[in-house]
Amino acid sequence: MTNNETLKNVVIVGASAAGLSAADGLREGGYDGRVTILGDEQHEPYDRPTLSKKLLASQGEPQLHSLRTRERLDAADLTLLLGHRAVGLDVDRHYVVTENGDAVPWDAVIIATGSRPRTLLTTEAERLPVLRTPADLHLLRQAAARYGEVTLIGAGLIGLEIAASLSGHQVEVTLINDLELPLRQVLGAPVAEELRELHRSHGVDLLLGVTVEGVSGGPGSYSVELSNGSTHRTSFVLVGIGVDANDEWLNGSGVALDAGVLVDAAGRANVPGVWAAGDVARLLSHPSLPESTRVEHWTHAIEHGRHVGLNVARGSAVPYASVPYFWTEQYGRRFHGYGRIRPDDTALLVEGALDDHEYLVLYGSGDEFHAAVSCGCARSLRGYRKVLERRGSWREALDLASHADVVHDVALHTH
Amino acid sequence: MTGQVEVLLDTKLCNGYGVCVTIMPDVFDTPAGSPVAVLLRDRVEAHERDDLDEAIRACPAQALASSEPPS
Repeated sequence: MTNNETLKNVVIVGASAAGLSAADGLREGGYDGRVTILGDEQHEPYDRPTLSKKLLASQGEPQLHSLRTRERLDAADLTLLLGHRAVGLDVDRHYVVTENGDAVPWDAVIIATGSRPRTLLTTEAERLPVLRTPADLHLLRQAAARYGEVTLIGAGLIGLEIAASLSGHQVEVTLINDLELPLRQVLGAPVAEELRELHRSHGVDLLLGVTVEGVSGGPGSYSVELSNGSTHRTSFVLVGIGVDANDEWLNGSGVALDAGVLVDAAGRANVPGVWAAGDVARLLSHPSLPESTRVEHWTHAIEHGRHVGLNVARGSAVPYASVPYFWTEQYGRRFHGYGRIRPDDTALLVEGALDDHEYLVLYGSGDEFHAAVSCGCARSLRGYRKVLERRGSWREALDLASHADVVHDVALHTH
Repeated sequence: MTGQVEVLLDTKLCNGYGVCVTIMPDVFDTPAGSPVAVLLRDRVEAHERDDLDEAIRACPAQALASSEPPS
């Protein structure tokens, strides 16, 4: 049952994981009016995580994983318009304007335009490659096969996944990162250290604690100038230094922006009828996040999209509170994490051993429990996740560990 | 049994990421070295349905589905 009888026309901007989940949420919430999804790419919606996690290393032509089949879209009566990049939003007359010049009318609009990778320009003003789309994947696979050697700037999740995929396939990888300990904020220090050593042991050349001052040249022959005064020569450079929200198309629209669309706990922007979901949305309030944040992980896109869709359909303003979650797979090891580590957290190993590559580490401070990160112990995460969901204490988390009889008396500090 | 739901795993689509394992470890597993997830049981009870729905949504490979078993 929808409580929102005046709603007949919902437009979702972005055929993304968040956008498609918002569409599902609308239907699940009982909304039976028109749903129009505007996608900027020409591809049918596909799963992006697979680009860096699996397809890079696949044999033969990579097969994109479809996010939604046409049958499924039709069954839910969702209209998907590909090649319709949104370029403007008219909040007075309620139109989304596309680059083709169409004005698509809405009673409510859900912004799910996601984010795009930051990149660097060479001194010749060429944009360096990133990994975001199937075309990017094609270019990277071609370069890896041709040169047998690749340099990655930035050791975030994407950079490390690419390094793991390529170095497992006889490609020499150099990884340059400004911080000494990549992914420390995501994994916590002890896990991040293990992961760093894992990359080293697989032959990845790690240049850490240095920044890139400039890149010149082109495919086949690049020179990377580093902050330590050295020059690194390489055939191919790929950049993975984070993402920016795709929100500039809303400049001047009246929708409040701050490196993302500002939304309240329900997913509402400052303008009535305008909502945002997924990694374009900056959450002004969330129980697990200390300050306003954009969450860039896959399951957030799914859960936040659905949540916003449900709120729109029901005319409700239920706050979103899903615990942030990420996973990554590197060298056949699967890492999963729930929650958000804070800089002053203490780390406690409660299962396995770090050098066995099978372990579970909890993070918290005082009586607060903030996060659980697993390598190969995914089965144990559920309990901790439940504690995080109900904002349980550090003590409750530790009780769970002792019930499982696996507490190691080892405290590891994140500093 | 009323309210039971059948769990469907398409191993041709599964990437073995294990997102489902973190949500329902007593239904899904990704044994070390296995490229795909395995089902520990193929039915869930009515009260587990929200968790199953979440696992289905969260699967990046869209490899999971559910169906009402014939009574």
